[in-house]
Amino acid sequence: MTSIPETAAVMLGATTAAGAVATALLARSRRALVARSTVQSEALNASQKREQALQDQIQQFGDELQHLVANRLPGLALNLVSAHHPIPGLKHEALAGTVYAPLYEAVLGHYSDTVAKERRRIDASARAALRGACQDIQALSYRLQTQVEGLQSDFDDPRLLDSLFKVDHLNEQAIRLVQKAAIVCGAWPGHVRPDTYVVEIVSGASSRLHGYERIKISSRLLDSNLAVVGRAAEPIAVALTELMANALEHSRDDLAVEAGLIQTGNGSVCVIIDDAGTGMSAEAVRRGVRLLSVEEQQDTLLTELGDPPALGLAAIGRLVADHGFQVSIDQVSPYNGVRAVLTIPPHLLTTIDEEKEPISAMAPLPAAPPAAPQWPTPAGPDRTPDDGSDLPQRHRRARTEPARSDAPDVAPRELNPETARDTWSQFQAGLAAGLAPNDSKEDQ
Amino acid sequence: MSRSSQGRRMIPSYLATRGIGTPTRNTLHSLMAVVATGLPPAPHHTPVHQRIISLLTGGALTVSETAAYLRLQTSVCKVLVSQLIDGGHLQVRVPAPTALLPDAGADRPSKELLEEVLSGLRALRQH
Repeated sequence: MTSIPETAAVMLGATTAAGAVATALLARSRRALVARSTVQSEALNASQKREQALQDQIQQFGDELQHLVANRLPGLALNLVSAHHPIPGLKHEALAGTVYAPLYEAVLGHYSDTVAKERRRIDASARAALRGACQDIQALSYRLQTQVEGLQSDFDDPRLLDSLFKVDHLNEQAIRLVQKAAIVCGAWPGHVRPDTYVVEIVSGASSRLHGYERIKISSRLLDSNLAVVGRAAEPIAVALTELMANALEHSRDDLAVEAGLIQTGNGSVCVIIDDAGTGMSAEAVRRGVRLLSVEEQQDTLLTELGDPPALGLAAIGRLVADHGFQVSIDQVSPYNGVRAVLTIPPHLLTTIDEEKEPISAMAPLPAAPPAAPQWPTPAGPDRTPDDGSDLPQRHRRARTEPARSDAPDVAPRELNPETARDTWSQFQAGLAAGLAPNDSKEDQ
Repeated sequence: MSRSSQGRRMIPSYLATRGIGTPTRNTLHSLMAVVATGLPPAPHHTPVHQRIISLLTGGALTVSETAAYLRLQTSVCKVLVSQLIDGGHLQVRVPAPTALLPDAGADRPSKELLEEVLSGLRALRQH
């Protein structure tokens, strides 16, 4: 039989052991629990961070979209009107490398493409409308010109002629304006001429302007019968008119504009137009050169030419591209104004038989070729042979009277005061008798 | 005139007179004969003036003939000629054919012929 204390001891021991085991187990499970909870809280943290990041990203997208709508697209719209306006970039630089950045750029690209396409479409329709109107007006003005010319040759009443000249000149200026506008809008110059003398084209071009009296034309062509082939005659006349118009507009009213014609060594003819005006700024020159360049003709829009549109250079640009002559405006004239040079290449030149088709009387006269100065050679009998001992002497040059074979040989009248007095008193008496009322006749 | 009939004019008439239609003297008739005095052209003279002076240096022509030679309108030529007369570059001359010169009395035309010519001229004028 076992004693109670033994049993109690065993029980206690067992209980203690069990307690120890339980404690150990408990401690283990608690560790596990703590570890799990750490993992879970870390996961929670991570997910919270992710959520925050997503929130940030959404916020960023929203911001970027807001920026696109509020700043970038209006900025682009302004930039399309004038390149001086900057286009704002991305607001969040972090987006720059992501796949989303190209999408934003694509929005801008589509926008500007659409605007440009629409602008070209509107410009084309504006051109078509203006071209149609201008060509109709031009045709009517030509008919008016024919009528006025007919009146000029039919009536020679001076007062009527004064008015007819004014009407003719005003009509000519109107033709110039509508013709220029039509050409900028893609029309052809309006009519084909026969081969025309170069000097006539320059004179004719000057006559189309207000203030043509200020244009001084001088020809230094060696061959006076040089002409421009028919198909290029009117285009060159229009281009010259516009260059002269610019020169007249940008110089004071009392200053002359000089137009000179020269024949260059390589067979082309240059018309040089010098003004004494204010000249052009560097930007104006760049703009002008761009308008005149052949490559730019497709891209020049009517709406880019200002308000009111400056059509002159644009018209010249079109004609240059179509007909193959050259125009330069980037030189400075001797008077610090602008020197415009129009070069007609040899393939646009021809000659006309001057006997068959004489040159117009109003065209500038060809300049006399520079001749070596002719020194008089006095051959007096007392002239000593030039042996080098005498100093050269000045002699009065003999005045040469033009030979007048046709004038009748009338001996010069003797001037006698008495005779002159008698003549004049007789004249006066006769005049008085003629002017007096015919009293004597009525008395009889 | 062949080219002017082919197409539109290149140079208008008002360019010749700088837009002036009224001659400085109203006594000038288109059938009057004018001749150059020998005074050289001045710098202010336009090419038309110079051409008229050089055309009339060779001998006298009527204003109408001058206009026809230079292919100008008669009224335009009248304005230019009167300007040149004012400047002393041209003078009006009575045409004196050899038949009418005082020395050539022998073969002077008959009075009838002269009257016929006169009536012919008048008829032309009225026409």
